[in-house]
Parts: sequence; C-alpha cells; structure tokens
Amino acid sequence: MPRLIALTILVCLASSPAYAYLDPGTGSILVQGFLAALAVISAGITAFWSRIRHLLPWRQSPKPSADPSDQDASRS
Amino acid sequence: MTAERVAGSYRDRKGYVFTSGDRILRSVVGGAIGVQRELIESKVFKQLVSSGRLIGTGIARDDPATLGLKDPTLLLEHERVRFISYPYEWPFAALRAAALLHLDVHLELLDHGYTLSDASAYNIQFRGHEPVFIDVLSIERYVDGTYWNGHRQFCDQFLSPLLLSAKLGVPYNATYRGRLEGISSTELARMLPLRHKLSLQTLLHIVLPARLESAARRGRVDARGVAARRPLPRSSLRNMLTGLKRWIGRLSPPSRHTDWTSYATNNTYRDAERAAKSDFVARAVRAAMPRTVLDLGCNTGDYAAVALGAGAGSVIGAEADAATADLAFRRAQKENLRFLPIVQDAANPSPSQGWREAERLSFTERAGADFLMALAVGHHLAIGRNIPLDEMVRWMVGLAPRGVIEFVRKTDATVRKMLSLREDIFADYTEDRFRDLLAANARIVDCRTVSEEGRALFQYDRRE
Repeated sequence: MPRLIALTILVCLASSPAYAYLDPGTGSILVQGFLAALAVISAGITAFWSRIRHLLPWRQSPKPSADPSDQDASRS
Repeated sequence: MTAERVAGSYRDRKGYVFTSGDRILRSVVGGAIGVQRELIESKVFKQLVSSGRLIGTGIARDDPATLGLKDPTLLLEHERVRFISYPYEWPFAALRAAALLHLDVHLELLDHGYTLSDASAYNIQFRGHEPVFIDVLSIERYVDGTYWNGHRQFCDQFLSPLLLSAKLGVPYNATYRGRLEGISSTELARMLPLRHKLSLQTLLHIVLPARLESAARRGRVDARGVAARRPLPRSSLRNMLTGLKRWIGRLSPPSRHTDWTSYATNNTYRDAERAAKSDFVARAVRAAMPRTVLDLGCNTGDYAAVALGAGAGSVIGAEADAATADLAFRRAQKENLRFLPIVQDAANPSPSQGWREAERLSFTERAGADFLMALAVGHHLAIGRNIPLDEMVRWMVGLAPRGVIEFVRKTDATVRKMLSLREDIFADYTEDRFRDLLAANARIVDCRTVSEEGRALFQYDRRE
C-alpha cells in the first residue's frame, strides 16, 4: 500500500508521453486502487483511534439509555 | 414486420436494439435475461421510470421468430424518443445535465444493489430539455468491491469536454464530433494549466489517471494486480460519484459574449415588428399543430417559445453559436419548455459517421420535423456562407412539409453590414427570386412584410 501511494506521488511529478494502444481504463483502475488503499488506511486509523479512546481514563462514559429494558439490565 | 438492427447498437454482447415499424425493441440474450427480468420488476427500476430518469420499458410479448430472431431471447420494448441527439451537439448546460443524470441514476442503482457497466454519453437522450437514461442493458448487478469500469469513459465523454469549456473557454462540440468518443482526458491533462491541475477533483479524475497510465505502460505498476488485491468499498465508489456530482454541478462555462448571445435583445427589430412576426408564426403553427418544430437558427429561443405557446408539441432548435445554444438550453430549463436547442451549423450539419458511416446518423436523417421555422437565418447562409439561393430554398423546404421562412432584403441593416466589407456578388439575391424558388418547391400559403426595412415572412406547404 505505501508503495502504491509513493508511486502515485512519483508519477504525478514525472512527465511522460501518452500512447493510445494501452487499455484506456488502466489509469482509472489504478486511481480506484489508490482510493481503495485510502479506504483501508482510513478504516485502520478509525479502528486505532477508537481503541486509543477506549484506553483513555477520562473517556466519556456511555449515556444512560432511554430504553427501560436496558436500565433494568444495568441494575441487575 | 421484420426487425432492423440499429447500426450504433453493436458494442454490448448481451443484446442489441432494433426497430420494427415505429417500435423500439431490444433483444436480450444469455445470462443478462435473468438480470433484466429481475430489474424490470424491481422497485428502483419503477422509481427511475416514474421520475422520468429512465426510459419507459416493458417486456414485449411478441414471438421472437416473427421478428426473425433465432436465439432464445428476452424482448424489451422501449418508449420512443422523438428526436435522437448526440453529445457533440449538446450545449454546455445540456451535457452537464446529462452528466448529472448519469451520476444520479448510478447512485440510486448502487443503493439498490445494481451498477452501470459503462458510462457512454450516448446512453442519455433528451425529452425537451429533460435528460433520460435509455440503455437499460448497461444496468448490472453490483458485486461488492468491484471497480467502476466506466470511469475513464465518463471522464472522456462527460467530464473532459465540460472542463475544456469551463476551464479553458474552448467549445468542445467540433472536437467531440470529430472523435465521437469525447475528449481524451490524457490530452486534456496536457492542455490544462498548472493552477487548474491542483484541484483535488482534477487530480483524481484527469491528472492522476493520465500519469498512472504512463507508469503502467512502463511496467512500473500492474493495474490488474491492484484491482485483484484491493477491492473498492461501495462507500468509496459512492464518494467518488457524489464528489463528481457536486463538482460537475458547480461547473459553468466562462461568461462569453458573442454577436449572437445578445441578439434577442439587440437586433434590428422594433417592438411592433417583433409582435407582427410572433403573430404570423403563431398563426402558422396553430394552423399546422405540429408535433415537432425545427427552429433553424433558434438563437435564445424567442420563437420556439412562441411556437410552443401556439400549440406545437416540442421544438428542436439548431444554433451554430455554442454560447447562444447554451443560453437557449438554460432558458428551456428555467421556463420548462419542451425545447431542445442543439449546436448545429446549417452550412455544416452533423454528418452520418462512425462504424459503417451509420453508427451516428446525420442531422437531416434524424430531424423528422413536421414544421420548419427558418427565421432571420437565410441571409446568413446565402450571403454569409455563399450558399446558392436555389439550393438553400430546396434544402430548407426538404426539412419539413410545412413551415415559415423569413427573407431579409439587401436593404436591411444586417445585410448591408454583411456586405459593407465585401463585394456584392449576389445579384440573384432578391425577394422576387426567393418567392419564385419557394413557389417551385411548395405552395405559398401566406406572406407578410414585417419590418420597415423589408423583412418578409413566407408560410409554405409542400404536402400537395
């Protein structure tokens, strides 16, 4: 994944001619691959952050539920 | 009645469109039969049809053998679109409306487990100014993680032409018509100045794909491997589509002033003359009650609105100036007129082209109008473009069986201006000769001089 992102930055900076004989969708597929990688990174960061938040001593305790059946469950 | 395959319907192996008399039918074969049956019964399909975003479609009960079809097939029947237009003829606002509809339909399908297999702009048609998606066969079941295969096509056929106009101020119509497949986003990436390349959306849809394609060509990255290893979450695909929709919705052409954009308010007519002209046109339209009017040289649509007000079913406008056609389209949207202005030069109309020179039909083959309005346009052809008067009259009368043609004399201020810097080689350009030529091609029903400088309207009928 980091290789793909590094390559993306690299090819953005490089200048090169275009040839029409290649499958015209290749660039689009690679951009979507880049977006898929970003989605994985973003999901990873979200999971990591929620784990960190869970470990923090001053994290907010969950609000009491309005559902009476839940309140009963918490009392038992 | 036998089936006649539509020449442009050959790309998709899952089926094709054909005509049988006035009917538009589609043969669906193989694995697509099950998907199409399920789709037609689905809630999303019914929603899209009832909201006017998808063409009305039902299962036809004809016996395929009577239509000359051999393979086991599912027959679909589509609602007919009266006038087929092509993206290279659409003004900016029409291409933008078509792009937004494509994205909108794709997003709605995605929410119900379907996707689009391609993103051809030719899959959109217009009913008046309202776009409608016509290719139900490109709707497929969505498989989680799959990539948007139509992305490059969407960029070439919708996004790049819009950007060419919005960012560089260059009308795309002539280039698009020459290539048929749109404006290559790889080439657009080379044309865009650096400041336009730095926006996130331009990077994502134009610059990056072009660069990555070069890298793939050099063997630095394997696209197939990337697609196989890394599925694209539905949320990412959705974000891509909504991002495009938001961006394209904000694109507009640079405000351009041409001789024609201000013609409706800045012309040689006085109010009383304009009223007399409107009255003549309205009476001729009321007498004919045409389903489709062709407004040649429609400008911003003043007389298209008059014709619609007089009872015409719909109006197709042909306007050579792209900026003026854009204004006319936006007027049709604003006033909700059944009016489709397209970019069309009467001296160089869209030809038959593409595969076997039949894939995209010529403007004249498609026009099929019942009534012609050629108002204040003849002198631009006969004098501005040196078209012989006899050929011009024959061509115009051939466009519709009935109509109104305006003749502008050489004493008119516009013609005087046109001839001020050039030699007058148009000795035969006279009202008498025009009248004789029109009478030789049709019956002259009525004639009225509507301006002091000698503009005259002729109502003709060539049906007898």
